[in-house]
This record gives sequence, C-alpha cells and structure tokens, in this order.
Amino acid sequence: MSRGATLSFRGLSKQFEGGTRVEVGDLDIKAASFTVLLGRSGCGKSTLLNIAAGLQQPSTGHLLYDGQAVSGNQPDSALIFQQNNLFPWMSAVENIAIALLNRGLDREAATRRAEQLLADVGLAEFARHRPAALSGGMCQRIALARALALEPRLLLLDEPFSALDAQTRRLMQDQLLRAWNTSGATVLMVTHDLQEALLLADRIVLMASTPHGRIAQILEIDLPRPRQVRSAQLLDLQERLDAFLTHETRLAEHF
Amino acid sequence: MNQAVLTLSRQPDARRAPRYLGALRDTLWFLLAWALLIGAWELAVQSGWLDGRVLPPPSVTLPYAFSGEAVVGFGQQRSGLLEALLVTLLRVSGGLLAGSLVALLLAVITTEVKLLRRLILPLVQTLAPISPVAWVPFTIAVIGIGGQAAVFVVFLAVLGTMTLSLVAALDAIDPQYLNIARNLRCTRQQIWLRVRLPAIAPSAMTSLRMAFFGAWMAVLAGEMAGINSGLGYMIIMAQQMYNMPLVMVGVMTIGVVGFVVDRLMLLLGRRLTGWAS
Repeated sequence: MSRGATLSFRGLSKQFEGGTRVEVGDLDIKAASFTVLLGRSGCGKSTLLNIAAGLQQPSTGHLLYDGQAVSGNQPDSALIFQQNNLFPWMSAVENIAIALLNRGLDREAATRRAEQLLADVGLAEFARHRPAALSGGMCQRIALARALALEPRLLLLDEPFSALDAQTRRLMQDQLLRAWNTSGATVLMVTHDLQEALLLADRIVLMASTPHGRIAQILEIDLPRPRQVRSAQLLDLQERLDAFLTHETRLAEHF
Repeated sequence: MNQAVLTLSRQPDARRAPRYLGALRDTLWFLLAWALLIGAWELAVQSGWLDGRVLPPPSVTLPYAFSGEAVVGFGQQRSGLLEALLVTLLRVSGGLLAGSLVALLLAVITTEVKLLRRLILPLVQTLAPISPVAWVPFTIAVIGIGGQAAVFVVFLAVLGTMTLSLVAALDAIDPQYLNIARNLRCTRQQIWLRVRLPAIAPSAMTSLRMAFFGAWMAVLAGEMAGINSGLGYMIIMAQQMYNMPLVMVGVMTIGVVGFVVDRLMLLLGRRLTGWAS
C-alpha cells in the first residue's frame, strides 16, 4: 500500500469577498500522520482543507505536496465530505465503480472490484440500492470504501461524521482508524467535535475565528489507541480545549 | 442486517397502496369535473340558454367526432381528424426535439466557455420572451409556407426557454458533486455524461413538459398561417365554412391530446429520474 504524503503550507492566507480572512502561515503535516483541524465554525478549518484538496486557491502563499509546489486537484488525495458524497442517481456499486473506471479498469472489472469493496464494508447486499434508500452511516461507509479504492496517499475529511448519530459515529471512527492504519495514508480531518479530535488525532491544530481565522495552538496527542474518553489524560485535555473553545465562542458570539 | 433488508424492501409496497388510491381518487374527480361541465353545457343548449349553432352541444359534437365526417378540404387537401392530428403531432415532436437538442448544445457550450456564455446568454434572454406567433411572418419569408415552417415555429418557441432553463439547472448543480467527480479523476466527458446530465435530468424533464405546452400552442399558430394540413389548418378551414362542430372537435382534440401527452411525459420522467422523488 502507498505511503502517506507530506503536506506543507507556506505563508498561506485566504481573503474572501466581504472581508473574512484566514491567516494560516506555515503548517507542516507529516507523512502518515493523523491531523485534526479543530475549531468553531468560521475559523477557516474547511478553507484550509479545501486548499489542501486543491478546491480553493490561497490568496497568498503556497502548498507543498511531498516538497513540491502544487495547484489544482492533488494527484493522490481522496475527499470525504459531511454528506452528499455519493451521486444520488447511481446505485451504491456504481458510485464506487466510477472511481475505478479511471484507474485502468474496464466497466466489468470496475463493477466486480466495487462489489468486493462493498462486501469489505459489510454492504454487499445493498449494491443495487441508491443512496436515498440507505442510511447516512451506510452512505459514509460507502464513501470511505470509495476513497480507499483510490489508494490515496492523502485522505481529506471534512466533518465526515457530523451528520451521524453518536453510536454510528463511534463505529465509523473505529473504521477510519483501521483504514488509516492499513492504508498508511496521511489523514487531514476537519471537525468541531472536540471528543472526536481527542480520540483520533496524533496532532490537533486548534483554530480560532477571532479576530480572523488563524491557528491558535498545536497539540501533540501522544497517547496509545484505542483511547478511552474517560481516561484521566483525555479528560484533562478535553477540559483545556473546552475552555478555549468556550472563550472563542464568547468572543465570536458577543456573549 | 436482515431486519434492515426487510424494512427497505417493504417500504415501497407500504407506500403503493395509498398512492394508488390517491391516483384513483384524482381520476374520479377529474372525470366528475368534466362530466359536470359537459352536463351543464348540454343543459344550457337544450334550455335555449346557449346558441347550439355557435357552441354545438356535446350531443352533437361527440358523435360527430367519431362519425368519420370530421373532415375538411377536398381532393389532395382533404384531411381527416386523425390524419390532421398525426401531422400536427409529428411537427411538434420534430420542433420540440430539434429545439431541445440545440438548447442542450447551447447550454453545454455556455457552461464550458465563459466568453460564449457572456455573448450568447444576453441574446437568448432577449429572444426567449418573443411569442412564437410573432415569428410566423419571418418564418414564411425565410422558409416559405409548408410543414417545415410549422416545425420551425415550434423550434423557435422551444429554443429560448429551454436553453435558459437548462443553463439554470446546470448552474444549480451542487458544486460538491463536481468537486467529488474531479477528485475521483473523472474526465471532462465523464463529468458531463455521468454527473452533470444525470443531475439536471429531473428539472430538464419538467422543462421539457413546459416546453411541450409552448410547442403545442406554437404549432397551431404556425399551421393557421397558410399550411394545408394539421389541426390548426382544420380549425381555420372549419371556421371559414362555419362548421362549428368541427371547430369544437378540433379544440377538444387539442386539449385532450395535450393533456395525454403531458401525462405520458410525466410518467416517463418519473421512470427516468426515479432517484429524485
């Protein structure tokens, strides 16, 4: 399997029409690491992810992918959003197969491989179902299966589990950690869920939205996995992060 | 897992029963509404309230429609109801198909090339509101009189509105789908065939139904201007011969066939774009 890519932001900022600004400056993401961008809405965490994915262009600065400057769609990245990852007019199996068609497989081989990938995530019997007939959790599992089918070196996730219920979210987090371990990909994930960040990340990039979007702090989480939410160390970190985010919210919402 | 399969496969059946009953109820109301109008009309003529020579009652019109005598013209120009209807339907489908295809082509071009979008869309926006009837003199001058003139009027009636609604539908596609498609390394052609076109299919079907209404009106206008066949011609001829039952038959045929075609398109649309409902 492919080894993860390194990602470096250099002097990066993004200015939006209407005055919103995100100042990132420099940020290095190590190969095969699991980095979480954590912050309240408006702090620019999705902007940063979109720039990493090549979906948005920075106003200043640039992005290095394995040390090389790139722009546009990153060659070996896979993306998963909060929802609507699957095309509603295609069945589950077609949604995966379309990703394989452009990797040298013909239609028949792509379909067979897609069916196998569906079976791997336990959804073989739903191959012919359209997304509307599947639950949100099932759709995200299919999206994850499809992303892995691309054999990405960089996996970009924008609040992938935010629309799921707590139990499904926990199971999906486990599945994601397994996928990260076996694929060796670098993971960059956006979330506003502090507990999720603490359970998953090697490193939490804590972002603030005042006075403009920026990186407030970077925390290395050097704890073994699987982690327990109730462990003393996590509870301590959780309290500190919660205090920070509450302070942020107070400022942003003018409490 | 089995539980989930059961629920999923049962769901459509559970919904079908009330939907089927709903359709039946709608049909009954539809028939009742028409029965009331036809009854009132007949009654009004019988009681002398309406002049049966101007507005022939159903008791005259309906038997006449099926008598085989609903015919205009003589010799080569003789045209029966069914024949007139087929000719008109053919013209509408020709114009609708051509207009929609050119509209799709324009929509694709204006989506792909921003410069052409800036040049073409303002023209379409100004030309689209022109009534197809206004094009008739121009059409006759350029294409002459004859069947192709009616097709061309339909084409013009469809082109503008269809282009604008297809462009609007393409603009309304959730950009996330395009981002995902690019991330999946889809080629430009694949993005069109497997993402953009399927994504706009439901609204395109609705636009096509609307365009059919416009086309159905336009073709009659076209046929009333110096063409010797079709429903429009039949009505004008019947008027000139003061054959009011035939005018009435023509008008009723236009309504019924228009309604039936619209329903067929609705069913076809649901078939093709079932994922959207």
